[in-house]
This record gives sequence, C-alpha cells and structure tokens, in this order.
Amino acid sequence: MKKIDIVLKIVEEICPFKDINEKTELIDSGIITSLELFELVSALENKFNIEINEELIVKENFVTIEKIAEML
Amino acid sequence: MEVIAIDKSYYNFLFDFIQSNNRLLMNSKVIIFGAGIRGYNLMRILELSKITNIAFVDNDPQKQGEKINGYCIYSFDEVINVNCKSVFLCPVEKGAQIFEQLEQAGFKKNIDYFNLDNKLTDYIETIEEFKRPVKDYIIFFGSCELSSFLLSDTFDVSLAERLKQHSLPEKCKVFALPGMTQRMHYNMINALLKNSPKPKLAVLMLEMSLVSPHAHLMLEPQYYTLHSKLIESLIDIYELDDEINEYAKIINNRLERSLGRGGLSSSPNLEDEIKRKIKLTYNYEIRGSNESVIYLIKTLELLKENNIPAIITFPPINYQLGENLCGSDFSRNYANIIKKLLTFLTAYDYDVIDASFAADSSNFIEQLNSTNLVILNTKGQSNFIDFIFKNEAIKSFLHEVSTND
Repeated sequence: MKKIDIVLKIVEEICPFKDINEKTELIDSGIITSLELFELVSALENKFNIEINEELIVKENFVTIEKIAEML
Repeated sequence: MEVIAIDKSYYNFLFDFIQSNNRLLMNSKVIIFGAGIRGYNLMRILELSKITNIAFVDNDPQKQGEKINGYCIYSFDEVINVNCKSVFLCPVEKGAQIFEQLEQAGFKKNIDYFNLDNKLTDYIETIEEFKRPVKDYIIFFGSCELSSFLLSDTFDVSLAERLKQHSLPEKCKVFALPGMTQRMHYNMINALLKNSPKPKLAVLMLEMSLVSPHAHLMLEPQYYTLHSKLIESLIDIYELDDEINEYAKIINNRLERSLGRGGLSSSPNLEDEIKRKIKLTYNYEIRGSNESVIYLIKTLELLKENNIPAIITFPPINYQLGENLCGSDFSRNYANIIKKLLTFLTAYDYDVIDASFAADSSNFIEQLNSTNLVILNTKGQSNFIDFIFKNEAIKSFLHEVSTND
C-alpha cells in the first residue's frame, strides 16, 4: 500500500462520514479540528513507527493528504 | 447539584474583583460576556456573593436564546439596546475582539466593562513555595488535580492545601500549578535541588492526561504563558543551568504555534469533541520517546543522583464516567498505559501509589462538559489523602520528623 493511501485511510478512520480524497482541503474546511490533528499525528506516529518533530506539526503540513504524505 | 472546579488563584482574583466592585455590581445589570465554562464559573461566584442580576451575551448565534442556570444568553445587539445601567464582565482569554466590539459601542474599559481574564498569578504562590524555608521535608509535585478546588463544596480548599496540612506545613513543599508538563516539573525540581536544602522524599503525582504523547503541544495558550512567567521568576532568584533557558525558548515557540485550543477550529459536535478529548488524553498509546516519559526518567535520575527516594502516585480517575463516554475498554486501556509507562522506568528505584481505580464516580466533581476525569470532590480528596498517607515511606518520614522535633 502506498504511503498516501495509508494516510488517506487513517484520515478516513478519524473523520468518518466525510468525503475525502488526496486533494481535499482539511484544515480551513474544518474537517480536521484541533483534537483530530493530534489524533492524526498519534495515529501516523504509531502506524509508521516514527516521531513527528514538533516543528513539523503546523497547519501547512496537514492541509491535504498529499501534503501529509509529503511531510512524512 | 452541579459542582464547579476552578484554579484557586483565579477564584481569588474573581472574588476580590467582586468584593471591591460590589456596589457597582449590585446596582447594575451584570452581563457576562461569553457563555462558556469561564462565564459559568464567574456566574457561580457572583451568585455566591448574592449578585443575581445576571445575563449572558455571546457572539455565537447557536448559544443565543438559550439559558444558563435560568439566565438568558443574548446577542450583543440585544443587550446594548436595553435601557438600564449595565456592566460587562469579560472572563475571556484573548478578548481583544470583544473589547473592540465594546469600545465601538461606546463602552469604556474599567467603567462599563472589565477584563477578567485569568491573570495567571499562580506562579507567584509557587515562587513563594520555593523560597519558604523548611528543612527535613517532603515535596509533592502535581498539576490541576492538586490546584483546583470546588466552588460549591463544603470546604474551599484544594487537594494541595490538604496535603500540606497532613504532612505538616513546615515539613513539606507542595507544588501544584495547572497545566504543568513533565519537562516543567523536571526544571522545577532541578531548580529546587540546586538552590535549597534537599528534601527527604519526593512524591511525583502523575496526572496521566499530562503524560500523553502530545500533552506539551496541546496546552491552552494561557498555560504556556504561565510556564514562561514561572521560568522568568526562577531565573531571577536562582542560579540555573542551560536546560531551563532552552525550555523557555521552546515554550515561547509552542505558544506562537499553539495548535491546541484556539489554534484550529473545534468540532461543532460537543459530545463528539468530549469523547475525542478523553480518548486522546486518557486512552493513548504511550512511547518511550514521548517528551513526558523522557523527562519523567530525567527526574528520576536527578532524584537518584541526589539520593532522594521517589514515590510516583497515580491519582484516582473517574473510570466509570470514562467507560460511559468511551466504552468498556476505557479502564483496561488506561491501566495498560500505566503498566507500559512503568516498563520504561525499570532502571530506577521508586515506590508506587496507584489509586487509579480506588474511587467510584461519587468521589469526583460533576462538571458541565468537563474532559478532566481526575478532579476529586471533598469526599474523594479525603479518601485519596488517606490512601497516600498509608504509604510506608511517607508514614515513616512523618514518624521520623515528628520524633526528631
């Protein structure tokens, strides 16, 4: 499974009932709220067994699934 | 009855304000700007002071038309057109927009409206606790579970004050600030050990929501400010190492980038938001690389280097409420976090007081939409104190100091 597909699957699990693809704007649209952002960061860290540096946890890196995959 | 917990110093600030402006408040329509938790707390303190001529105003159309405790929530336009003497009280964080709204409508600061944001004076009390001369003493480090107290409960004391009474005030120091992180606690203990007589025993009261993987990034902005003020004061009075300066820089950076409350939008579904918050803060996956774990280990190392025995306590958690909100796995997941955390600490000697499941839900406050599952009511505080003081190391410490005196 490609990285971008794994990220999409994780975001879909955190935000069910929302129509999301790789290019969907996630932040300003309110799809990802403050809490969901940290749920997402935890899920990504656990899935990829990594630590996401706190400097990278900024809105710009979570705007779309593509951006998240790029950051990873 | 709904019971409200509030930081002691913020309560004192609001109470002093009400006392010194009592006549004005008694003779005006008191309009609380912001129908959230802070507004609710202020309303209860006003009521305790027999001021009940209250209304709420909120810019959120979803709240307008609702009632809190029988008091109406209006839109701003509705209240400014009422023909009676009004005083606006604004217990809001980052209220610039609201103050501008009031100014544009012709209201004057400190005459018609008052900024009642938390002045974050808690750190002053903490600095006094650092400076307070004691010898042969025990230290307790905790966070909001220690510093909050209950507005409507029988005794207006916090768990921190009760701990101090039970340990003899001249034989203990209790550090209880809301919104603390393990890294802040490490720096505080380091500052204390470098500049004061060494304690005989250290009790680290771990609030597990503050040990969660991203707790240090999710604090409300006011708590980063509180950390900064505390660090500045410590630097003023003590010789400290580079770590604390480094932490000061990091805190400012985290405040600027704040992604916790205020950084991004909240979910419009409050129930969903509460469940998510509780899962994120009490049902997480803990890792050895989490900042909180790293600094807990550094704290234990520091205590070991200084030959100070350590006790880690896990305070009671309202697991019944947790299960009601997040499902029957809640308690098992919570117990597993503690179990896993302890596996990271096997290289160190410490005693454990695990009161996690020692209290049922009748021991906790019932707070409106609260996501904090560890704030005990008076009964719960008493039970927890009894639990702590059954510990052999604490009992023998108290026996030793009372015998020596």
